[in-house]
Amino acid sequence: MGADEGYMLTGPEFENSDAHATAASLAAGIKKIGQFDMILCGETSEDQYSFQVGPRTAEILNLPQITYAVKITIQDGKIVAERSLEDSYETVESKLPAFITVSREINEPRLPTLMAIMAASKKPMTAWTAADIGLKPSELGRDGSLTEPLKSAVATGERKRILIQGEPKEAAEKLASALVGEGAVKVT
Amino acid sequence: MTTAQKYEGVWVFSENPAVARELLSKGRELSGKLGTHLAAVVLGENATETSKELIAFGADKVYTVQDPSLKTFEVHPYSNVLTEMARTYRPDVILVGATRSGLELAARLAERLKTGCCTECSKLDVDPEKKCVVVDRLVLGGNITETLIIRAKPQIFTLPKGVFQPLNKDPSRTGETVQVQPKIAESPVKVLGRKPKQFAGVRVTEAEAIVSFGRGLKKKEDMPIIEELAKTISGVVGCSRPIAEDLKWLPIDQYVGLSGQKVAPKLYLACGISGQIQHITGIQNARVVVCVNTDSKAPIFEYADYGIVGDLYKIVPALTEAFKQLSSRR
Repeated sequence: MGADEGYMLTGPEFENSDAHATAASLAAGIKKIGQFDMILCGETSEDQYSFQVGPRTAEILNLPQITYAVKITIQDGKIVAERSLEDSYETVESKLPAFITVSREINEPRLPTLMAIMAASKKPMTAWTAADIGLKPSELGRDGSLTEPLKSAVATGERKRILIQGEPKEAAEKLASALVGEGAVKVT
Repeated sequence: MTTAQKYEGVWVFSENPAVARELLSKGRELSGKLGTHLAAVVLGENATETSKELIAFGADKVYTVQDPSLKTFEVHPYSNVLTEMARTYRPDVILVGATRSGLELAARLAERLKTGCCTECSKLDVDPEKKCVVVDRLVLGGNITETLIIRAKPQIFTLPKGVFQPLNKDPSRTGETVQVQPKIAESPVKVLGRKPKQFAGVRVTEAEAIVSFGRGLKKKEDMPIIEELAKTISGVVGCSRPIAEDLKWLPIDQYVGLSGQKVAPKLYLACGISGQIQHITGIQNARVVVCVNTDSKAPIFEYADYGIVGDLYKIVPALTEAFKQLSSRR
């Protein structure tokens, strides 16, 4: 899809890392790679939805952070980014290197062509374990995490689940009365 | 500033004053159970005036930093100031409003203080033996509720907005205001400008009633039947992710779901929405959920208070008519 080379942090010791331990691993890997101008990272993961790994990695690397970017340009060696907040877009500027988290709207991923897929197999790919990036097992996984999961359960809704029967007109009338009755709708 | 001996007190911080009041209400409950005080932190220009307000809404103590450079939220100066304050006064718990700004602040603050942070906690309580906060949060697209504690101090949590009710304002409450003057370094990120987002009509996050539709609506040209129902009940139109993201029939700010808008209306009416967990997570704070769907096995029925199995093209206009009838009878 466009990368010239890849680095992979891999091994069972990374399992069950929380946002802090994940950020510590990424930061250690990035330090080992060495030079960079900019680090791009998604604003959040779809599984944990914690919005933490980006800012935490930026903090460890002591980099300026620009979160929720929807547009990035480089002007005179500086990054200018547009950030998407609840009510507004904010345009910010920072020197490089900088750490950017991006929002979904930033672009549509390209579909790799067959040529690109074939070329990808010849690109350099490096796999590192925790030891390779200088991290001890105690700094990773459950041991290295600062949060402790106690239990997890299937999320259940607490809804009434009343099924309204009848022909469309009849069912609609029953529903409308019920909703007005319990104050969910105000008719004027 | 002399450094406190031990971790004590519950702090709340939000750059959004309405959210700060919600945090105070939950903070009051937690500080009561922990047997400690509740403090709010205010950064900005009118910190002193705001502090009276925060005491009236439940704070025992307010730490203020009065500085024109903190007028508007910026993550670097705000996290620097809060780090310094947390290192000096050592709160046991910090509650932060889960706005977009609050989230990036909480994460950076937690990493600098080398502590844990749980974001968007739906439930917070105190373990009476361990004297620590125990929280629930949804993970894996809203399928799983995870219960967690934090191993380090301060324990940092972010709370979603609009979920916890603020306490009634009590102007007779008294509290202490502590003025803090930390050193404020210049931010490495410069704000060049801000422009407000344009919203079509009322926003779904503010609406009391939402009529939302999904793939069950076949054509964009059929949207007026949804709009008509929304208008009849003084509500706004929302939609599921594919409608905004793939089909682009409505702006991205109108789609409801975990990765879209999380809404808390009195009534949420889902028409032709199957009820993917991604969508359900966005409506869990709605007071009443209603669904209309042709497929009686659609998951949405599990998450609704009222359901009608049927064709939205027949049910929706019939509902509009039924509400109009009820209204004309008044």
